[in-house]
Amino acid sequence: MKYHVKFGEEDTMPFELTELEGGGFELRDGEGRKYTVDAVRLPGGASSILVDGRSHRVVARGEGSDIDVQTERESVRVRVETDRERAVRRTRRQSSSESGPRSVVSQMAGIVVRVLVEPGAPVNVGDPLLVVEAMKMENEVRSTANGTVTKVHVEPKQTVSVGEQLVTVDAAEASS
Amino acid sequence: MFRKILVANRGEIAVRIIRACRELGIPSVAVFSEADREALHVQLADEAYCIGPPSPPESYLKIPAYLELAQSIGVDGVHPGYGFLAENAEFAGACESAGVRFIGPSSRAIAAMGDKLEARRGAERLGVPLIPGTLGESLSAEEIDAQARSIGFPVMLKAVGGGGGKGMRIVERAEDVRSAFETATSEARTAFGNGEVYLEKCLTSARHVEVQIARDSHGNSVHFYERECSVQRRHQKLIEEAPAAISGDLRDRMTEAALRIADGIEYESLGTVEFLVAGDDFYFLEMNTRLQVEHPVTEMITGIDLVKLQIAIAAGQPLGIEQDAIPMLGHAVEARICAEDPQADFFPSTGEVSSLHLPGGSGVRVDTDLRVGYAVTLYYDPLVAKVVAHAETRTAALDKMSAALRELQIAGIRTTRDVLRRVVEDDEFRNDGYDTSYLARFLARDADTTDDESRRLTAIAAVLESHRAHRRDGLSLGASDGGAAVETESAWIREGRSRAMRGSFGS
Repeated sequence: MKYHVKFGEEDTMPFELTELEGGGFELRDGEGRKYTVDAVRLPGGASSILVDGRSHRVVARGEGSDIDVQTERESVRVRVETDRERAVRRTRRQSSSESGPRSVVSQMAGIVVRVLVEPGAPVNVGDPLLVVEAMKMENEVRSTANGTVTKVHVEPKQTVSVGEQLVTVDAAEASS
Repeated sequence: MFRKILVANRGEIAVRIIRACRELGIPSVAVFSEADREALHVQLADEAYCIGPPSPPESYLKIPAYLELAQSIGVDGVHPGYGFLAENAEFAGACESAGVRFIGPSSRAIAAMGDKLEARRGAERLGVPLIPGTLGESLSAEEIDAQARSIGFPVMLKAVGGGGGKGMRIVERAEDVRSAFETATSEARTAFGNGEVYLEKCLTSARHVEVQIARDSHGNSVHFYERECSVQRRHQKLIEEAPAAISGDLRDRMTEAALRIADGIEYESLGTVEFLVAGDDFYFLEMNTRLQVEHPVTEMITGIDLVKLQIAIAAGQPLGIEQDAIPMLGHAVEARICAEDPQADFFPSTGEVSSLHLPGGSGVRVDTDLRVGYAVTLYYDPLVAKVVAHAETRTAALDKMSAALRELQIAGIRTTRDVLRRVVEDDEFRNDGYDTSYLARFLARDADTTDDESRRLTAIAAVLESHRAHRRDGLSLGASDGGAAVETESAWIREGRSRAMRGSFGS
């Protein structure tokens, strides 16, 4: 089985996984290095992983291709895809870097305290759009695009969740 | 001593106080919101009662609910913890008039120090040095604006009724005064029910050092040295240490000033006097009339249980400790594990803890109420655990903290674990001395420090998890994935293999 592990936007590491007779795995990375791996899922969700005898305690949990991994050193979300999954995604992928309506979504669950912009307002990347309160702290939500506000989807005192659309900015009108 | 103590709080601090009650043999009463039925403090207390819906104003901040409960079940002491009603003079006063002892100072002392302007004026009267700033009340945006220009930028806007970084804003430029005034006022109104703000000159390259004191109802007072709390982000402390790297002379002057304030207002409880230290000078910031989040570092170096002491003082007992008998042994560090995502500008992270491992061993203390299934909501403080390390020297304590944070695992929510570990391993933090500007500087240069080996382990773990999920979901490992061999194998071999997988890496 071939898997591609993607860190952030650019870095992809390919791995070829082979199940070994009698348990365990052999993994081969993109440069041909081989690792003998033994993995045990522990009660409580963590795993003990032995990579060529080196012992690691790791928590890895996934939803679809996105997998959250926590080692001693880092806690990161990576994307893991098989060859086929990668091909499917590539054909579906749309260019998202062009001009056009762009949604600013909430990074956190909270309550809208103030809305600082109105439809028609010109904004630049980094401009505060509204203030969301979570855990008693007020946090400014900033524009991720240069352009014009076309719609404000929320109002003060409204509860918002992670990923919820807050403001639409049309990036076409100020692309210079 | 008390017959029964009600703990008017939740989370790790409720657990901390209930543990002290258990040691003292005093029955304890927990309260919980509808969101906290499964919480650890409920399990450890002798009695537990639901006091309302998850939202704090409807539960943990509801003064009448506490008083009613206290009187109906024979409670004679209320411990407020920190946050919520800990520095609420009205609550302390209501307890006093209901004949229930508030385990903290008098409502009068809370009010005197809770009003930050009155506290400034009080410190000035007692001859304790102050940061240049305003001493007047109810300043309008115009007055604040004018004062800021005359003091000189940067300035700090602070809530008169505030604390803990809420309602506090640094203003660098004259044109930002108005918007900062509005944000600070609004945040202060939400958090403290009082939108008034005052102004102080913002001392850059200063350190935040606080003195722990205790004073009993017989007029005896002692200090427990100081804590260094300069690792802050947006005025929220992330890492605290005891002792601070200050000269013996400065320590003497600061602890003396702290006790002068405590004696001057006839304070009766545990308290903390916060100072800014710039060079060899120090300035009064404020007095916190409560048990502090970071009290464990002081407990580690002195060997004294501050919560039990606080309860004894409230019961009217004399301190029973001489200043000379309070040791300062080794060095202690505390790291605050918060449910915040450092990769997303420390935005609060909500979710459910799916896997948990806490560090332990000699000199490691973890104050937490975390457990698997623990839901982090947006209702409460993001602090979910305090990891404390104590060793003979600062270097050894930081090494111990680094090892403890590597051992700590909390999955399901984003936390500050990794960034805190990188701070305690950072050369500048370890060797060069630091001030309140350190963390911003560190975060700006804290690039991706992960090495190839660490990255490879993460990738291998992710591949194994993905493979496990594919096997579990029984997805066809089709020919285009190079899985033809698997498909053509006999069912017997496949069955044998999947059984082997279940054994070694099964669900």
